[in-house]
Formats: sequence, C-alpha cells, structure tokens
Amino acid sequence: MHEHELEQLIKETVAQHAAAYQDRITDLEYRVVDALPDRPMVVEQQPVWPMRLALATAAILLFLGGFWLGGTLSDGPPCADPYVLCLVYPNAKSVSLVGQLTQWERHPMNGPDRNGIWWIRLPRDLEPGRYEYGFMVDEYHWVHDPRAREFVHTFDNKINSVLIWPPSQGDAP
Amino acid sequence: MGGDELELIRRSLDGDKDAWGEIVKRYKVSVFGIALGILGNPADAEDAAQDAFIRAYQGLHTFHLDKRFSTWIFAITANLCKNKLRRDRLFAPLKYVTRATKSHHNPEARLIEDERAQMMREALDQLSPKYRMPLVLRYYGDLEYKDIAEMMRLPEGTIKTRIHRAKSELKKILEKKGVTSHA
Repeated sequence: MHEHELEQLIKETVAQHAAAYQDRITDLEYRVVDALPDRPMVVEQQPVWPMRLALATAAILLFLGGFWLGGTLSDGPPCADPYVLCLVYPNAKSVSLVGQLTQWERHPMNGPDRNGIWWIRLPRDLEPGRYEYGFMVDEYHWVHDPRAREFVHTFDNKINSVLIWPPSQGDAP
Repeated sequence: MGGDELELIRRSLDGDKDAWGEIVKRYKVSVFGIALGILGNPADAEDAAQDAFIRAYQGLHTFHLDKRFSTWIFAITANLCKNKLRRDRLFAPLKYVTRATKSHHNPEARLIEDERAQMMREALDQLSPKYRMPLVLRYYGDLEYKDIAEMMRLPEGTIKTRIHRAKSELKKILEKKGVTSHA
C-alpha cells in the first residue's frame, strides 16, 4: 500500500468511526455550556503554582547558581544585564528560549560557557508587557527560569515563567 | 484564525457562554474524532471531548490568540486522553486490554464503516498508544510534527520515528489481513 493511500485511509477511518458515533455529541455544546462555571473567567495575574515551593526552588537554584556565577560575571555572560536571560544548566547539550517573546518558536541560546551558563539577549526594542516563556533543554525538557518573578501553571501542567517588562529596579530579568 | 472565530474567543474570554457554545459546535466533531482515535472507546471519547471544552474554557486566558485554536484544543484533548490511558493502565489493566473490543458492540455503527476502514481501525487498535496518538494527531488532526512534539513533550525526531514505525506496523497488519492498494 502506498504511503499516501495509507495516510488517507487513517484519516478516513478515524473520521468514519467518529461519524458512526456522532449521535453521542449531538448536544455536546449544550452540555458543555451547562457545565461551565457561572462566573466569567478571571485572568490569573498571580502564579497558581504553589508560591512557597516556587520561591524555595528559586532560592535554592539562585544559591547554587551563585557559585557558578560568582566571580565569573566579569568575563562570562552578562547575566546582570536586564536584557539578558540566563540559565545555569551545565549538563545540557542544547537550550532554547521558547515563549511569547519568540512567537513560541525555539530560539537557541548561547552557551554553555565554562561554568555551564546559557544565555540569550532580548531585543532592545522590546515592548512593555508581560511575556510568558520557558527554556527547552535538550529538545524536550521544559524548564522554568528560576530568576523569574512570576510563574504560571498552564493547562497541561507546565510551569511558564513570566517576564514583566520593563523590570522594576532591582528585579532580575 | 478567522475573524469571527477570534471574536467568539474574545467574547468567551469576557464570559459569554453562548459564544463558547458556538466554538464547541464548530470543533466538537474533530475533538471527538481525536479522542476516539486515541482512546478507541466512544463513551470515553465523549467524556474526554466534553472535559476538553470545559477545561479549555477555564484556561482560555492561556491560549495565545496568534496561534491556531485547533492545535490548542487538540493538545488539551490529547493530554486528557493520555492521562486517561495512564490511569486505566495503573488502576484497571484488564479494562485497558479489552479496550479494543468495547467499541465493536454497536452493530449499526459497524455497518456504516466500509471493510477497509474496519480493518484499519482494528489495526490501529493493535498499536500501542504511544504510536497511535501521534498518528491520529498527524493524519486526522492535520497537526505539524513540531506541534505534536510540543504537546507530547518529545523531540520532533522521536515523533517522526514513531509515526514512521506506526505506519510500517499498520502496513504489516493490513497486509496480513489481505488489504491491498486500490491503485
């Protein structure tokens, strides 16, 4: 059987199977609407991930990261620059920035330097706003930014970091 | 995304449930198809489809308006199905094993399918979910490899390999059943 014919048959088979049982979803929209919460949705501005756990993790990683960063910033990546996002991940083979900043496309980060730091520079003309992002390590490990000030728990149980731009004074990027 | 669809989503974000009902009406067949393709059981697929639309509404603020809505709702559906399969494997292994036979109990439904599709469906049922899921998302959901990779949190290369292996396996099964090319 030819490749194209096989693919077409897969599509038709699933479609026919669904059509055979479509009486089950005739009134689905009504059932869904009935089951929706009464109140309109509230946009979560605060992280829904347990805050204490997030802060504790961030503190530990910052502490550990401090050893890596300590004494190396002068000749390493400019992680103190608010226009630079950094991640300490010495064992990674690749790290990409993914998020609203990149239209959810993967943008490879520079690195690692000798201390395992990966970094990427944000565009100089970044519009003020709130941007969700994360780091894709070794193609499929989704890692949040321990230096972010906010986190969002997504529908599929991922943690997105949030960049608030411009950062207030003293904030990490 | 069409302008009116964007408008429906914006209205839904403002809490307009009827607008969300219209979205459900437009996508219910494909969402049900995705769930049925992955789970194989119409009752479970119906629950998954309903749950997917409710969860999507609850989490609509996480949807990025510049992305395709179908990709997003299919991702939610696929994740729900994946969790369902995982729960079934953990708590009811027998139910999981007999999953394929449950969907054959409706004789009227069987008549609607032609013989080739029937054989293909049986072949799909023999595939492991880790192969069936990307296959359904790719060829029924028309999703790109990178979108499937993102929703399954696997490298794109792994998805391509799984789909390739799944198709090879399907070909073997179909050949054993005597299904040949129309060409």
